[in-house]
Amino acid sequence: MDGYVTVDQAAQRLGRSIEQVRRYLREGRLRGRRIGQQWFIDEDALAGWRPGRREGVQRLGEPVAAYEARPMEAGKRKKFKPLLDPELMKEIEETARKIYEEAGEIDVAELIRQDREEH
Amino acid sequence: MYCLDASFAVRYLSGEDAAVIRRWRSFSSDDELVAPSLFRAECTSAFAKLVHAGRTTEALAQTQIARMLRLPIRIVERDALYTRALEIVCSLRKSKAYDALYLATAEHEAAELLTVDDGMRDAAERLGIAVSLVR
Repeated sequence: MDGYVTVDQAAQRLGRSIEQVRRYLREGRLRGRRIGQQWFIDEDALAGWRPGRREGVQRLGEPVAAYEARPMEAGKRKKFKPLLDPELMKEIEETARKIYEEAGEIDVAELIRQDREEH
Repeated sequence: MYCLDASFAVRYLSGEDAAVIRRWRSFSSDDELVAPSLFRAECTSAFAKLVHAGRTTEALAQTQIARMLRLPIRIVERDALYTRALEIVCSLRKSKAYDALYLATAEHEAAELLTVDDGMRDAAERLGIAVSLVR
């Protein structure tokens, strides 16, 4: 698609991971088009995109000057509310740390894969 | 919406992978987590293997499995998943349907698949299913 890049290409150009670029798209920090399961990002706007400020993040297609002049929008942003109970996450992570200390690095992908192959 | 591979959950429950921890912490109340019905069995089985191999204790495994069951994950159980999984297995020329059930669930729910398994990531990409390899 002319004038658009894939998530992989955008990640390379921004020096970010694919996961981060997908998150920017989901959060509206990057504007893109989704066709089926695939995201496409406007190539020209990507060139001027600047990460960093969470408030007033530049939108794709918006000139850099306009982005920099735009007032902070912190008050308008929805406050992050975690899906998982923070206490549950804390307990899980503490126990996971104990397991890690005992077991060392576990190749989880291989562990699950072996299980699937054995069945 | 996200479809969780068991590998992504077990990695969180049994290790100190910073990227995986960050991803779990990043889920917001607007997100929904789904998984096929075998998800819980696979997590349990992975811990059983760790206990059997002497890499953790039964007590710690029990604790983490009990917590896994408290995670807000909607289990998807639909007849259509199994027929679609069979199609996927055949199209990928595989002989096991376990991966395919996750792929079929992600596709059915229009969810992004989260995994730590390269093979699963590759299979999802071949099918055009949104996927993230969390590392």
